[in-house]
Amino acid sequence: MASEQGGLDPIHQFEIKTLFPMEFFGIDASFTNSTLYMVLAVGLSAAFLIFSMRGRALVPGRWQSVAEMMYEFIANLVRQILGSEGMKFFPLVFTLFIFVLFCNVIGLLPTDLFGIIPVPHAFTVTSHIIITFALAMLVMTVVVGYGFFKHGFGFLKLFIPDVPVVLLPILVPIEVISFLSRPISLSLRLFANMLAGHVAMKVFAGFIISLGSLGTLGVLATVMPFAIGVALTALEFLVAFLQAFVFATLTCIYLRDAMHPSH
Amino acid sequence: MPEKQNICKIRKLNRDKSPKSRVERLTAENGKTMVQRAEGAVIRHDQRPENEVSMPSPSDQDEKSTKKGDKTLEDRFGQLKDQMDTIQESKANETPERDGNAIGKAMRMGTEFVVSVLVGAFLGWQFDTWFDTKPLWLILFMLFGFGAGVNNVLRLAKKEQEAGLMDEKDQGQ
Repeated sequence: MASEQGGLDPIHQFEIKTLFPMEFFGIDASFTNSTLYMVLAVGLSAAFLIFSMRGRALVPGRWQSVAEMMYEFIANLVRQILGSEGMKFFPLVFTLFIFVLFCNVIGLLPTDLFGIIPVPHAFTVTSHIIITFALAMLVMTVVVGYGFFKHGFGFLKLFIPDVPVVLLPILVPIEVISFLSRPISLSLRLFANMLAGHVAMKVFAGFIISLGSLGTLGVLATVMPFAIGVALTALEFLVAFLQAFVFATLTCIYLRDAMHPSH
Repeated sequence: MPEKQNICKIRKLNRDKSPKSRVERLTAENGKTMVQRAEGAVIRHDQRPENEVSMPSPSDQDEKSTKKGDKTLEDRFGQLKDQMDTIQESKANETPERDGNAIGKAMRMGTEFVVSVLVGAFLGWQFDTWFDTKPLWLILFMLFGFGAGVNNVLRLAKKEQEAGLMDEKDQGQ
């Protein structure tokens, strides 16, 4: 029923649409709406940071203090978890945080704000698991790469807990599995939160339309899903920020293992 | 009189001085200074009371001016306590790891557990297809996956518990 009407289908918003078909060596590399919103997130975050830090005032203005707050927020996080020698990872963590945050928040905007874009609604890049998994794999690649670069094979001590040797055959596979599950749980958390939130918002918005077509009583009853929709929208803004923050925090925690592999 | 400015300060003191709470307060009023002592966080609070600026002195300490009764003192103690509470609250909230809602934490534990089991099962299945030993590695690695899941959840819970204990300690001060 809902899928026929298109607008009421809660999954419809996650569809990938090709805007400009492209192909490199037989690989489909089309410019899709997902690509567009990634470009938008990168462009807007870069524009925001460059514009706000343009003045470089000693006493920051409004924009500058927002940018400085973001910087300080992540810098404190990195310093807290990784120590001051971990600040070399700050660019990575800050970039991930800003990118995820902008992707999440842009996905919450109704697209009518940018009429120029040939897409009917805002697209949440982070609601696709392949995107979040790619980000998580980027983090894990850095963790493994830096771990081996810094400690050589000593990095493998990460998988050897401090227990009697007899228990090692059981505990080493457990440690390996819990390490391998990290990129998956990291990506799954962000993806599931964004997907579930957007589906819930769409479902309640759909209730308004369905109820509205039921006559006067139905129109009066639309107040309830509308109230929930408003509350959900506020909640989603919180979730958008919180998930970006959680992603940055977990990145730091995993990087700490690369810096100090022994338990 | 209404233009007189009172500056209240609470200083953090070494706690072994007295087991009970003491209030140190610096009050500039009519050129006189009163010092009371408080234990707790450092608060600097400038205030301009609208009604009466006079500060009653505690009977056992510096005997200075007493214009109003103990009620004002009690009020001010209450006020200071509120301020200290708010500051301690904001300090507790500064640690970002303790932020986030309980549902988020529960979700995290749940995903952590399920994902570990799934990764273990996938690895076992992959080994089985490589070595052609159909159910052996699948069963074994699924068990390892369960172990890893429990391990992850326990680690998270331990961290939560430590954070909770730290919270209690902060409040107990």
